[in-house]
Amino acid sequence: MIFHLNENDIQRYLDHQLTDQEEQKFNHHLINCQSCQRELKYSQEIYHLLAQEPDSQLSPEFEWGVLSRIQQEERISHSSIHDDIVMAILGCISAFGFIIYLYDFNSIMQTLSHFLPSLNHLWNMFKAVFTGIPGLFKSDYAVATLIILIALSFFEEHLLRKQSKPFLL
Amino acid sequence: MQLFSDFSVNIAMNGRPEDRRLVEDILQGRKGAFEELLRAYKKLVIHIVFRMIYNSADREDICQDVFIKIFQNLSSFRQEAKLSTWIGRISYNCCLNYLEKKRTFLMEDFWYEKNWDDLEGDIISPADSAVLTDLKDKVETEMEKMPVNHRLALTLYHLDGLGYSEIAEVLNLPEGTIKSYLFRARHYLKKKLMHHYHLEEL
Repeated sequence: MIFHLNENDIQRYLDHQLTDQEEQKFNHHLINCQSCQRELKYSQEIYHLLAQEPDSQLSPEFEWGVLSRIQQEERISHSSIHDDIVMAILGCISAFGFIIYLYDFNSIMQTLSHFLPSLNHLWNMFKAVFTGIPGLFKSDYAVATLIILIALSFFEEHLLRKQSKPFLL
Repeated sequence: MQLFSDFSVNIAMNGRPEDRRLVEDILQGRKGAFEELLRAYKKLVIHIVFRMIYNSADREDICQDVFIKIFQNLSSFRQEAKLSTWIGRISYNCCLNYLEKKRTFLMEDFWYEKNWDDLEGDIISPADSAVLTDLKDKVETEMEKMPVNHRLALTLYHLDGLGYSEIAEVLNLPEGTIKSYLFRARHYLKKKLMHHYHLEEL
């Protein structure tokens, strides 16, 4: 009875998966067996066909499309970091405005100016600008209200940019 | 249901140093680095998407989505992994998500048993055979009928040069299953071409 090479042997041979001993036996059989030589030839033909590049084409604008979408992604991620920083600063300013309402303003400023002498100077300048306009802001509370309103309006603008509808003002 | 949306794939292989450098360059924002990755791995993505998705109108969009997902998830790429395997896995998952949305299911493993019988039957005459101008087209036609994972395993092995273990990582299947897919798919193609298209005459 003659044993021929089976399909599994042929594929393992072509995939370089045979051991040295198996490969020796394989080659030895192949020399004298025309039927197995033919089988190997067909398999090699299939391997050759499978390694050919199929006709799979994308449009010439494909790369440009991907890169422009990535640029968009980058812009969104950068602007969202920027927005977060701005929101944090505005939140601090608003909180400061509310503290002025709740506590005695002069004692707060005295404590703060102890650590930050320039802060008191800055506050006096800011107050002078608004109280200088006749009939407008005459008290610390009015200036504090103005700070809160400015902060909230910026807050709102950033939210508007991030979301489709406003929820504050 | 988000069965196939895990892009932070756990792949334990040695990454190539040039891939590692390329990923670092992209993460550090070097201009043109992502373009390099796009050019280097475009073929791999195209091979997977085109093998899995037959709706030509959606193929390009899916390829774009794959690259956007690669960009978004690059920071979760583990440097010891092989970039081609990681990209292959993302492409495969994107296609599976698409097929799931379209309610298209992968064909089951019994496909060969069901289709093997007709091998001996309707033999195509040389005249019909001549309609398909070359053997490459014939292979393509037969591959289109195969189960998705089988034709994908063939493509990744023969066109992209991935090994058994790498294909197993991409398809999330055991290595033995990949070997079996490859063996059955090639054997089927060989028999099909021999019987239907008279391979011996060509």
